[in-house]
Order: sequence, then C-alpha cells, then structure tokens
Amino acid sequence: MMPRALRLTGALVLFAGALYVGARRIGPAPALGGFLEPAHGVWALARTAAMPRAANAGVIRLGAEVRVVYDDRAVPHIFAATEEDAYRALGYVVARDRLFQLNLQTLAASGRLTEIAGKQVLGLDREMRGLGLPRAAERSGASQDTATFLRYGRAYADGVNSYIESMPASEMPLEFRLTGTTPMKWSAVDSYHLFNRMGYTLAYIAVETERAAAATRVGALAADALFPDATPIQEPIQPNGQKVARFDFHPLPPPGAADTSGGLVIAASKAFLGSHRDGNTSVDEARSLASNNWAVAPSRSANGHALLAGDPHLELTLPSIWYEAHIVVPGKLDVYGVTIPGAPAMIIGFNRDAAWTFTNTGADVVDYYAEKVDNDMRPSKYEVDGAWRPLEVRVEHYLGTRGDIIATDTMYYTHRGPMRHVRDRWLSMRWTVLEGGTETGAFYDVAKAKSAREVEDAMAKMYRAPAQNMLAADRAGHIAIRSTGRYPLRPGDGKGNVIRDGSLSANDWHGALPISQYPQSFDPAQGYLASANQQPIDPRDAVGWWGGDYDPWRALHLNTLLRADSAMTPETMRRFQTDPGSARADLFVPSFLQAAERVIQSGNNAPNRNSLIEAREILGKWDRRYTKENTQAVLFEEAMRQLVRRTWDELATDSSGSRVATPSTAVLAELLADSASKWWDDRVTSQVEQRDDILALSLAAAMDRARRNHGEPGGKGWRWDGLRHANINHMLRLKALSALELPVQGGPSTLSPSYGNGTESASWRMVVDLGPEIQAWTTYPGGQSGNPMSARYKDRIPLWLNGQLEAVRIPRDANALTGAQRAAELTLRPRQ
Amino acid sequence: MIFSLIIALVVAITTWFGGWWAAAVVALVAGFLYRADGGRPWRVALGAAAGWALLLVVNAFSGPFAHVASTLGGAMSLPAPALVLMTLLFPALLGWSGAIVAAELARIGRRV
Repeated sequence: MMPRALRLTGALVLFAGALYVGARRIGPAPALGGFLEPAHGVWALARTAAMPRAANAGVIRLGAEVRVVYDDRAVPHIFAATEEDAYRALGYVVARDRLFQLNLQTLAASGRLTEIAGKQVLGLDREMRGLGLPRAAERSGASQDTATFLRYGRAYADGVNSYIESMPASEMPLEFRLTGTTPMKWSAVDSYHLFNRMGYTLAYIAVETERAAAATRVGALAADALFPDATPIQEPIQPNGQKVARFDFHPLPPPGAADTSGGLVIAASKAFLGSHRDGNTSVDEARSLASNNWAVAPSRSANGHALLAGDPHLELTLPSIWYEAHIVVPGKLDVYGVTIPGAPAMIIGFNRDAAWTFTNTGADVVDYYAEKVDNDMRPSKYEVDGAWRPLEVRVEHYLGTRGDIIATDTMYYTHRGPMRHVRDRWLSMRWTVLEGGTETGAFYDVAKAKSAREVEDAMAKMYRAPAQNMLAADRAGHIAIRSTGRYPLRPGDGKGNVIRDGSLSANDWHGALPISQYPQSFDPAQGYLASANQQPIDPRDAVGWWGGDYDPWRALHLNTLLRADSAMTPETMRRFQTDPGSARADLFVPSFLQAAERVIQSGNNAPNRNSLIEAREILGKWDRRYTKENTQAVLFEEAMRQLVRRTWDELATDSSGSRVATPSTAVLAELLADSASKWWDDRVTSQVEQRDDILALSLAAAMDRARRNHGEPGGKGWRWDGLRHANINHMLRLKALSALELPVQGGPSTLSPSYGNGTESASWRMVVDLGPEIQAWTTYPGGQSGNPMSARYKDRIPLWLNGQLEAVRIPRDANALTGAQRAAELTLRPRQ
Repeated sequence: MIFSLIIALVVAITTWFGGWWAAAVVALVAGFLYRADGGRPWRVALGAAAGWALLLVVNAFSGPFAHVASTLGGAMSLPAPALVLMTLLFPALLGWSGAIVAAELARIGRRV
C-alpha cells in the first residue's frame, strides 16, 4: 500500500504544481500553460509573424467597406469612402501592427504604468499625474466633445477596439504574454494623453533652472552670461539677411559671489519635473540632440522643384515611435506620412500638393507662482486679488498589477495648473502643454492643405504645444517656416525665469504672442530655409523671444552646406542628413592646435609636453569629419570633455567632474575670444592659467586618457565606429528584442548626432521632391511591425544606419499596386 | 505506441480548440480509462509531449520558427533548445502526473 500512496502523493503534488505554474505567474515568469502552449501561446507568433496575403475583418460603426493594401515595405494604403472610415481603418491597422506600443505609451502618458509594472515605476506615474497631464487630457476630451477632430478620434478608437475584440489569441503580442497583461480598451481621450506626453518630452526648457543653479556658485550676473537668452552664435531660423553666421561674442563677467536666491526655482523645477532634472549630463546632451529640417526653393534645386527634408530626433525605440501609412478618401484626402501609434492623424508627411515636417522650438512656456493658501496643511482655497478662490482637489489612485490600490495622492489645482508644496511654500505651475488639446485638429487640416501657406496657417490656427518649427513646401515652388505654438505674454519684462506672486492676477499670463510675431519666413530671398533647433529669431529682430537652449552647431553646418550648393537634388538632401561634418569641430580644433603650438613654442617643460606634441600631430591630421573609420575624433571629444571640466571648475560640485550646471559649448566658444578671462584660471593651482594653458592642458590630458582607454593612437581602439554606437532599446528594455551597439557615422553636433548612450537620434528621415508628381524617400530605425518575430520588426535599420532612404509608393487607387509591389490586402467591413 | 499516438492526436486537437489545460484533462481521462493498467502514465506523458510537438511542427511549417525560438529564448534569458524542451516537458509532466492521479483515485474510489 505504501508505494501506491507515495506514488499518488507524488503525482498529486506534481500535477497540482504543473497546474499552478500553468495558470499563475510566478514572479516575472509568465503563466507557463498559456505561454508555452503551441496552438495559441508564444509559439503561435511564428504563424502570425507574416501578414496573410488576404484577410477580412469587421470594424464597428464603419460606414462602408475599406480596402487596405500593404505594399512591399509593409506600408498600409487605406482607401475609404469617408474620412471617419479612413481613421477607423487607421486605428485598426495601427493596432494590428503596434498594439503593445499603443498600450504602453498610453499607460506611461496617463500615469498608469504601475498597472503593468507595479511599485517600481510609481515615481514615474506620480510625476505624470503631479504635472496634471492626465487631468489635462481628460478636460480636453470633455471640452471638445463636439469638435470634428474628436469625431475622428472616436473613429480611430473604434478601429483600435475592433481589432482588440476580434484579435485571435494566437496574435496576442509577445509583450502582453511576457507581462501577463491584456490590451486595454482604447478611447479618444487616450490620444490626448499621447500628445501631452510629447509636450512633456519637448516643451520643457531648463535654462532658468540652469541659470539659478549656476548663480548659487558664481552669482547672478555671471550666471546670466553663462546661460543667456540669446545664444552668442546667431544663425537663426528666420533669415536675418546675413550671409554667414554672426558671432556676438562679449567678455563674460567673472565669477562672482554665490547667490542662492534662485533656490526656489531649482526646487520647483525638481519637484514638478524631476526626471527632466536628473543631472547636468542629460541637459548637456539634450542641447546637442534634436531635429533638422530644410527646404530649398526651385531656384536652388537642379530639377527646378521645391525640395524638402526632415529628420526629427527622438528617443530610439523598438518598435519605432513612427508608423508609416497612406490614407486616400477620393476627392477629400490623400495624405502620406507617419503617425504616432495612438495619434489619430498623420503627423509628418505630404499630400499631392504640399509637404511638411517639424523640429522642436524649445521656448520657455512654463512658469511658477507662489500661492497664498488658507491652510498650509490642508489647503482648500487660494487667494487672488484679496479674494479666496476654491482649489480643485483631485485624488489620484495608483493601481497595482492586480488592480489593487498601491498609493494615493491628493492633488491641488489653481486656475493656473497643479499646485505643490515646495520648500515650505505652495507653488503652482502654468504650462502651455496643459492648455493644448486642439493639436490633432491642426493635423487634419494640414493633411488637406493645398500649399505651404495653407500648411502654416492650419497649424497656426489650432496647434499650441509643444511649439514646433513647422517647415512646408509645395508643388508651386513655395517654401515656408513658422515657429508655431503658444507663447505666453507675461507682465513686466516678459521673461518666465522668476517665481511670480500668485496672489495677484496682474502676474498672470495676459494672452499669447500674436501669430504675426512668431518667428517665420515665406519664400525668403536666400532660396532656402533651415532649422536645427537653433534660436528661431535673431534677437535684433525679435519683439520678444525667450528660451531656446540648443547648441547652434548643426544649424551652422546645415546652412554652410545649403549656401554652398545652388543645384540641390533629392540625393544631396539625403546625404546632408548624415553628413559627418561638424561646425563645432571646425571652431574648436584650430583653437586647440594654435594653443598647443604656442605652448610648445614657449618652451614650457610641462610633464605632459610629449603628449601635447603627439596630440597636436594627431588632431592636425583630422579632417573634422566623424566618419566611421576616422581615428582622431576620439581624441577631440576627450579634449572637449577635459576643456569643459577645466574651464567650468567654478561650477563643479565635486572632483568627479559633475557640475551644478554646464554652459553650452556656444558660450565656451564665446569664451575662447577672451584669452585672459578669469574663467580660464584653474582654481586648484597656484598659478593663474589663461586660455592657451587650459586648451593645451586639456589636449595633453586627453591624449594620455585616450591612450589609456583605447590603446595606441591610430589603432583599432581609436576607430570611431568602435566607440560610438546607436542603441535602439525595446520598449521593455529587453535586450533580445533590441538592436544594440550599432556603429553609426556622426558625432556630437553633426547633423545626425551621436552622443551619450546613443539612445536618441533621427527617428524618421524623409526627402520630398515637390515636382508635378510628388516623389518621396523615407526610412526610420525600426520596421512597421511591432511583432519581434516579424521580418518587418527591424528590417529598416540597416538602411537607416547607412543613411539610405527608400522610394515610397503613392498609389492613387487600391488597384494601382500590382505584382511584387503588393504584399497583402486587408478588407474591412462594417460590423454591428 | 499506437496508444501514445492516439493520445498525441487527441491532445493536439483538444489543445488547438481548448487551450493548454486540455493536456491535463486528456491525462485525467486516459488515467481513469486505463486505471487497471496503472493509468499508463509514461505513454500518456509521451503522447502529450508528442501532441504539443505536433503543434510545434505546424508552427514551424507556418512561419520563422527558429527565429521565434531564438528571440523568445533571448527575451527569457534561456537557450532556444531549452525553451523547446520546456514546451515538451510541460505537457509530459501534466500527462504523467494526471494519469497517475486519475488511476489511483479511481482505484481508491472503487475500494470505497
């Protein structure tokens, strides 16, 4: 009997155990039954990796049949009878290819990441909700209930939800299986969350915080000069009539006594936008990154057509932030371009008449107010002009992975925005991003624009945040750019770099800059327009302009290239996008070489004299191009790091090289013009150093360090492609689903910058030839499918790495693509 | 052998229509039916594994199976063959233990 009892007990335990691990998640491991089961589990993804040649599906509230033809680049061409049906179809095809991305982005933007990742991401959710972003999205959705664009947003939601409801278990994306989650029902408000998230990423400028942080070390006067409103190198987006960049270099005031009066500004910024303020390196990198766009008029193109190019730089992810699509509603709409999964509109692209693309503007559109409240511990009212106003109180619940409440916050709102307790004060924040919500409407109008002017006007009418330099060109040969967004008009000097008294309504914004005063240009005499996030308008021309903190180097180089070529072709436009030249290297390398020469000639017997001689030789041979095979850029970049560290030692927090804030390299260039400035002196040495001493010391130290880290000069370790990589992480940071350590051409401040950890770069590249029949070439670092098992998951990366583009297909009707051009067809039919 | 083949076919079909737990149900039924034979646990285990293997073969013929295996393995920090092995061992375990449980409980029930 005993053996039988044992046998039963053992089998029972194993059976129960197998059932348990089959049905329940254990730690990060998925429930194994459904996961491994080969009919519907992960293995079934092999069956669904490729799109079927022909498929049918039902979509709720669809008015008539919609045909979706996928071309050989996996781009869906949607042919619908009405615009609402077209956006339903767009929702369906985006969900079919990018369902997990839709979910994750929305959860992140609405502060609900804890629902899939638990307490470990509570901080991120708290920041989103603390900023009032989810509340703003909900309010936008409610207030624009009858707007046309919300109708389209709902149609898009119909499409997404139709896919979710009809999705066979075998198509459930891998990430849902790994995280043990299921797709959430989509609503039109989710699209607002997405736009708010873009605003969060792009519409926060830290210059006032940097300035306040620097003042705590070197005084307000010096800090103002180190972090100026106007960059000392002027090559603005709105042409200023100059044929070359202007260098407004002035001596910097010397370091002064510490001024901590800006402490509250720093604390406020940290409290509201914590993850934007996670160290000076990120700010420094942010200045070097971002986007480019340019257009040339027919007078400067070889074929006599207007040409347009754009490459927005964002975080690189797999799947990509962009999804390429084409929508045709005969007689009403024919738009091609990229949408962001979750955005019920085409964001960047072209129609049969005009093309458009954006770069980030980066104005100061966030302000803080010190509020007077009735009860410091439990406020319910705040005072404005001597009268009490009720605070809006909102209780935020954060749910865990099992739907249980894991944290609760009470949020307060004044008429300006969210209010938080910071350093024993109650501060409220006003931010244009929280007052947007009509952006999608602008994109619908742009999609139908007949000219560059109509593109700009449609944007100016409805687009608020994040402010963008919107470039457009049309088939009639017109080119135009306008820095469109909402720029608040403030009392006093108009600047937003102080904390204002919230108890006075006179301190509130009193309107917005009129469109006529936006930085803009239409058909300029120079025959081209270019933006690379530089200051959009020359301070000499501006009525009022605040902010803009990007380095000017890409703009300088781009303008140099465009001025030098008066017969541009789509091919040269493409080549510019990854041109390895650098205006930053062009300016700093000669300074290093001259300083090295002077120090060597002076007979100074410094201990690292030999290193300096060797470094001078190596750097002197560099063509200043960040090609993959060059072996000198590594020395220059190390020299720049050393130079920054030695020059801004007054701002250092410790000996590790971190600083309270780091001035831009444009300000460092300005300092080069003043060889005896007090800023050159290294405070730890007994002698007083000047510019050449620091430049030479930096170069010699860079030589020693580069040898130590990369081996002998000129060796394999010094090759640029061995050191600089693009890293495209999967959205869940799963290595196996990422594309890492990809060698790229480009360095800091080249048109396709490679900087930091390589996780930001050109997220989309497009060149459009606006001839009688529009032609376009595009790519992005990823692929159309979000399914890691699909051949279309990251098929475009090799092309992107080499700076190549593919010609796009722009069929006029559903039967225009034939043979190999036609990869698959999906027919969508009305479903009750 | 034929018994295992039949189990494999039944497991494959019921899994296709019913999901992973079908392997457990088939094991319990087989164990009960062949209780006199101790439930034939090893043959049920072999059949259950073969049933899922059959479905894996269907997947392999329908798409990039090797790519799926290596990607999945990477995502789960496991070698791809280990993942395949796990996929076969899981129904085998359900089959073996389920058959014994059913057979032994049926014996006990009959005595009672």
